[in-house]
Amino acid sequence: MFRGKIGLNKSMVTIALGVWCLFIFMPILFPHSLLSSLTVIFGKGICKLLCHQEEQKLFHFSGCYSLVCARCSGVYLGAFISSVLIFFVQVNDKKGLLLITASCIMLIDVLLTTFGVYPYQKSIAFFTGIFFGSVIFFYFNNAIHSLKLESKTRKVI
Amino acid sequence: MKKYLSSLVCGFGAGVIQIVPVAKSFTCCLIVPAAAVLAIILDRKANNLSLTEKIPMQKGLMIGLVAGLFAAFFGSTFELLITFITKSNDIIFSLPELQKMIGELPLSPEFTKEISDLFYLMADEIKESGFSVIYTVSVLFNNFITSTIFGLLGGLIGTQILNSRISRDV
Repeated sequence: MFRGKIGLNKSMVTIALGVWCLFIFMPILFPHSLLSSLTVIFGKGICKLLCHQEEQKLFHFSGCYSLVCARCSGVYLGAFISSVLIFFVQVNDKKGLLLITASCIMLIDVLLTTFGVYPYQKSIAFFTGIFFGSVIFFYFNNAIHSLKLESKTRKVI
Repeated sequence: MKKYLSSLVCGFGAGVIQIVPVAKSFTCCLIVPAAAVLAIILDRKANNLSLTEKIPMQKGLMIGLVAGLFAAFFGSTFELLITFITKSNDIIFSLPELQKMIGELPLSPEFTKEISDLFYLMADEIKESGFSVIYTVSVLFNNFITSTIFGLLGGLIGTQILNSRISRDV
């Protein structure tokens, strides 16, 4: 069960994810600005560890490219959307069906594009990423909740 | 040390995969979290936990963190070692492209020159001796920060998934 209590920690996670999403989209949100230039210089190396950064798979606008590919952008944006949604919505996924579904959809898209069944499409990669990112964040939130419960129980004992 | 043997094994594995050309792109998003989850599973088996016994979240978190740290340590070591032996790396190959990209950015000419000089200094040092302080610091900094975060995430989410499977089976 994923609880939706508003707390400082949850807000901080949401803010951190929001800043991260802003960071990866900075070059296309503010193309040719000093801020986006600095983001590209310092962020490209860090994001290289997170994503392949193949040019044809990156979002671009006005000759500027996002720091990570469409799928990775989707994953981070999905996590951010979920971090906002948990303030209002509770999600029950005891059987892990959501996670399995999201993983399978993304994996199928990766495999089909890799083996050339259909060409890579940013929109599909982006939306499968969003779905996966949002589901994985629910698990993350649940894990944090369990961790808090565990430490509270230890304190009581 | 025995407590984190599974983290050491999986962290070493992740460190080795980090230097494989194609796989290195998935270091953080797939390899390190997967190493953390695998370390938890191995730890479970090593401690002969019964099928109904849940793993404490704090333990899972620590295993993930240590696996991430080991992955960063071994990954950085191998990368620096290979650079030292071959006197070449990805940066040297992508230097002209990098130069072009920096030139296109709306920065002052002085700043652009400073950055270009820094990259060329790093490339020259690597070509000559196979070692560059700037490169070493950047590799260590990047690897330790990202692997630690993703190791923690892998440990946390992995424990949650494994525990939810246990409670489901029971």
